[in-house]
Amino acid sequence: MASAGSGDEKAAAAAMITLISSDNEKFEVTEATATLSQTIRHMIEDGCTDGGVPLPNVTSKILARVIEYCKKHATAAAGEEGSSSSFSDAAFLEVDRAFLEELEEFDDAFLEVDRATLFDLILAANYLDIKGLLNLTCQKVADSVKGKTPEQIREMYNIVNDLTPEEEAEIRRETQWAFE
Amino acid sequence: MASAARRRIAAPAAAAPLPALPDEILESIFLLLDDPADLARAASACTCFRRVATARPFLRRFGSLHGPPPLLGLLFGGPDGFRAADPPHRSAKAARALARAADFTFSFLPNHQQGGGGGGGGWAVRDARDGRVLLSRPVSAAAAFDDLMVCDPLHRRCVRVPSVPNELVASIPLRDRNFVTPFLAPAAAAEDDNEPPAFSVIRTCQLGNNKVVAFFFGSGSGSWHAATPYMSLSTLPTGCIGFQRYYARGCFHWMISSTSSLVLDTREMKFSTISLPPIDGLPHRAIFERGEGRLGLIAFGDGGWPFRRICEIWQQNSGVVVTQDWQLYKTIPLPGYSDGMDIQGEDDSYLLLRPIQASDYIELLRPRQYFVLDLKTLLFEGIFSIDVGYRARFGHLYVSFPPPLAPPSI
Repeated sequence: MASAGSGDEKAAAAAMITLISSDNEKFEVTEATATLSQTIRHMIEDGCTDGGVPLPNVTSKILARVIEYCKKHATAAAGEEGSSSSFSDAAFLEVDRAFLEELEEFDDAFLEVDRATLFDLILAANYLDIKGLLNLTCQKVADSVKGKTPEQIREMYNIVNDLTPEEEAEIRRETQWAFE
Repeated sequence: MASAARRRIAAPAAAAPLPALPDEILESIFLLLDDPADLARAASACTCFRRVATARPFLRRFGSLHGPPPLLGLLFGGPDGFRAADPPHRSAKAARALARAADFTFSFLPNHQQGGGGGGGGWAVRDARDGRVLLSRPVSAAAAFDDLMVCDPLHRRCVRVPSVPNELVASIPLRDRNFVTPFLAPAAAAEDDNEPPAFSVIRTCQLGNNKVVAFFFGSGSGSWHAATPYMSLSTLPTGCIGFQRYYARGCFHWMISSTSSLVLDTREMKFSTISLPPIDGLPHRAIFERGEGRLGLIAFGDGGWPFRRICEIWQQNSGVVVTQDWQLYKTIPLPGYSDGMDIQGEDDSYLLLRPIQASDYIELLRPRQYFVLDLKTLLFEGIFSIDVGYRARFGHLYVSFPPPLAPPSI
């Protein structure tokens, strides 16, 4: 497990937050990792994180994945900040590009999950207000829908077709243009 | 949100159900679809998707992220009705869907059966904008004003526009009540996201050879207001505020000479004039919005000898309006085979060019097309061809998202 803080061990150690999943599992994370979530950032600002932050909407399985994402992205952000002073502009850009590439690879691998997990991640990202993760996961769903028929979309996401035959006929008529 | 979260979009007995996504997340996902066709297909999956994808606030956001609605075709007065864009135009499929779903005979208008004739109860198409159509009908031979109706042909809704109140027009001599074609102003941003945006109707009138008046009707206030009358120091040509008007930066423009246009500011309700650059040999002019607060000017020939098959695009250097401020931006060739084109209409995003009536048999046998100039990309695109031997009539651009992505406009 990589530490998020690059230098100041004391501050990092002092700023550990405990997150508690819906199934009562406890996760120790740095403040830098936790504050990628706007929801948790606000709780820290309000000083109500003593004794851990209960997250009754997020299971341990999903919370572990979310923390994995936040750690990676918090490390990247800290790395960029730390490097900016000690490199020349060109070197900094090089490092920057390397970080971005690594981050993209991480994101791609991170999204290799089944659809139920993907939906759970979306809900967790929404609840915890983690913009990057929400955009990433929503984009994955949007990309999967592109070019698909309604039947394929229903099959992909186990959606029950609750349209009446009359409604479906009307929609078919209206949206014929989208199928040709 | 609690109720939205409880609603399951997936729950077949066999497969593991997926967790339900609240509406705002579905919206975020749908906003990431670039192609309206993808959105239309997703909207056909279930009632929940359909409800989210066809809600007015969502479609407004989708529209603002994905540029203006597409051009679907031309609306002609009388029995020709709507003519959908033909392949290979990119909107051809969506345009056919609109043609199938909408009622361009306007049979839903009151007293439609009366009067008969091609116009349907005497109603004539005057303008089309933002998915709305403005129609008018003479009340009686003696009356100076005709009836006005604004309607939504897709959702078969209509609303009558009251006549201009007498006190506003009392000062205008009866012989001068030569009201030119009434027209629609672009919709203002809606105050309530769930309601259709308000619409405005404008009527203009030229008095003698140096005065112009205008009246505004706003559906929000439900009343007519008069603009400050415009007195010209020079003689205005008769009928100068005709149907060839151009909208840019909140103002309508009419060409009153080769080097000036009359401007009606729709917010201030005031007239003014601006100077245009002198351009030799290219008498057709149109004003458009060039971005960054600047106006653009398009000029091309009228088919007269020697016909130059080019179109000049001019633009202002800045928002300051003086003759010297215009510069030639680009010269592009005119499309098509016909002898000439004329400007026949505009929208915020497109300029319609109609092929000029052929002058000889050889020309009549050539395919002739209506073209639009996309005012953002400055590229010409054919809409459809006219049958050999037919006249190219005047049409209104019909710009809208196709069903089911077009919510009621009134």
